[in-house]
Amino acid sequence: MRADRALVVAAASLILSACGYDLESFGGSPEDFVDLVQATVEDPDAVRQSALDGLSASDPTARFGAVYALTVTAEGQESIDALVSLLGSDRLEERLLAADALVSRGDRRGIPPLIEALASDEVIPRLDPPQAAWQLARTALLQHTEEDFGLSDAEKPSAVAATQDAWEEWYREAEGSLRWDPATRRFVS
Amino acid sequence: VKDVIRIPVVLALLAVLVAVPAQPAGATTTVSVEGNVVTIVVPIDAPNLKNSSYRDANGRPISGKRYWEQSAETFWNNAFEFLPYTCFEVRLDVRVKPRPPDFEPTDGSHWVIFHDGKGGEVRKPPGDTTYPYEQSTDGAWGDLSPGGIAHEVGHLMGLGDDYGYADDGSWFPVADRGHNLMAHADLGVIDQAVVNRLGELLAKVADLPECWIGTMRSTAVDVHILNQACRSDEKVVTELKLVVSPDGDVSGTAEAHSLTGHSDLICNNGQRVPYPPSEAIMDVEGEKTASRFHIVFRPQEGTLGIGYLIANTDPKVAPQPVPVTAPDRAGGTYTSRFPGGGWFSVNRFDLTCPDCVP
Repeated sequence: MRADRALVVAAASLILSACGYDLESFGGSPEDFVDLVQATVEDPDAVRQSALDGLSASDPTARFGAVYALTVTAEGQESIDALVSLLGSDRLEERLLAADALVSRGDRRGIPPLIEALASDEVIPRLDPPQAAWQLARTALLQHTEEDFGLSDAEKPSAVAATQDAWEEWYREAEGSLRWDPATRRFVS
Repeated sequence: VKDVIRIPVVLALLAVLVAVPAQPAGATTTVSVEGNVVTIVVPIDAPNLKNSSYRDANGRPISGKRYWEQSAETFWNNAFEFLPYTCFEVRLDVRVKPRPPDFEPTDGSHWVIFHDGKGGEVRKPPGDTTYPYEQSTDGAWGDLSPGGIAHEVGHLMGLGDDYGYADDGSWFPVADRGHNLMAHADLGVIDQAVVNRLGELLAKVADLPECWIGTMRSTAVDVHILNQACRSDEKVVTELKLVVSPDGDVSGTAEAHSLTGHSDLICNNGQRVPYPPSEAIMDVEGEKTASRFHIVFRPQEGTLGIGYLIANTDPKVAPQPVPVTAPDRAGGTYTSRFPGGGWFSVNRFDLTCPDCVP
């Protein structure tokens, strides 16, 4: 083991165990992301609590760190409620990350924002590598539903946007009968 | 009161010292050279990588290890196949080793922790850098598409991001690079400029052999066929890329293209015998001394034309001697002649070795 890196890991673990993960130190750099993700693996409960507390941050970067951490660690009603609240955010990255996190946890309330994003080629702020809104939405809908409507073959923004009407119609009709299959991690009707 | 203040200050200083990035720690991303093939090996320890729910391009279930390896290798190697760096064909070999969540960093591999969130990050200095070849680094990779995986592996080959985010979070490209993989992942491409930037990093970290590039301009003349004196006025330009090993062995490739669009023979009796234009992809073999190259051409299948090809590629044709005129230049005119008589072409060489003179 690299001694210096081991020292960093040990120090981080010590801080985590002593006082929980402190999202206030998140500055949006690659280093901050790596440290944040490592903390989510080592102590997800502490990071989740820190993320819930951090959602009220006024600084956009710190708030993004909290949103990101919550989408990775969300578990339990308080987390889900916080994610649902983020669906109403005026920030694209917050809406879409929350929608994706909800859908991947079997909560269908994340589906409509994803369908809406199929027609958006806006780049999602702060995410590396960069991706457009429709790309995230396309991946999430194909991963977590049994439907397609030509989306898997659509690679250009215009072709992806052209499937939006079919997805909206499907959701209107299937919303009430959708259930989550934990084995496949997909919504089935 | 001063002591109360000093203690947090000292603790803060200690924290800064502890958080300084790791110092050089042994082989990580490595480069090997064989002939004109340069292979980049990227070893990755992958704590928390799950094997479930991955599918290949045909929708078949695939292990997480192979999904990540294949995604990056396919993206990059498909580009390298058509985009060499000077004389060199680049190859990527990614070696992902799934590890338990609490696996700690070791020498010799990069350490990338996997998670269920979005995006990915690699800890390295900004911009293009040889850092990943000098010491192992770490990163965090979430749910990434194949293009996203290729982007992150690009970082482990030393390439920097070609984009930034403004204070309001909006994306902007670096200079004119907004179209490429390091700026926009799945919507981006790997172009010659990206390969050249990577090649410049490889030249810094590996002892690449000499690369001589240039042209051979040929005129096929005075051929004899069917007891008739004939001639072809075809002009052919051949692009040469020659790798010279430290012991003087020459290997490489040559691509010949007709400038006249045909290799017809015009005979003294007035007959015109039509032949297609010379088009050839050839392997090149030979040796280089302090004063000369001696090279022979070995055509691959599918070559066309007549005079140029017989005069230059028949196994009986003697090696082409090309005088070395300076440490970084070689050139001159040589008449290549088929020993059975008749077929010959006049070849003018012009080769340079940009990296041979510091």
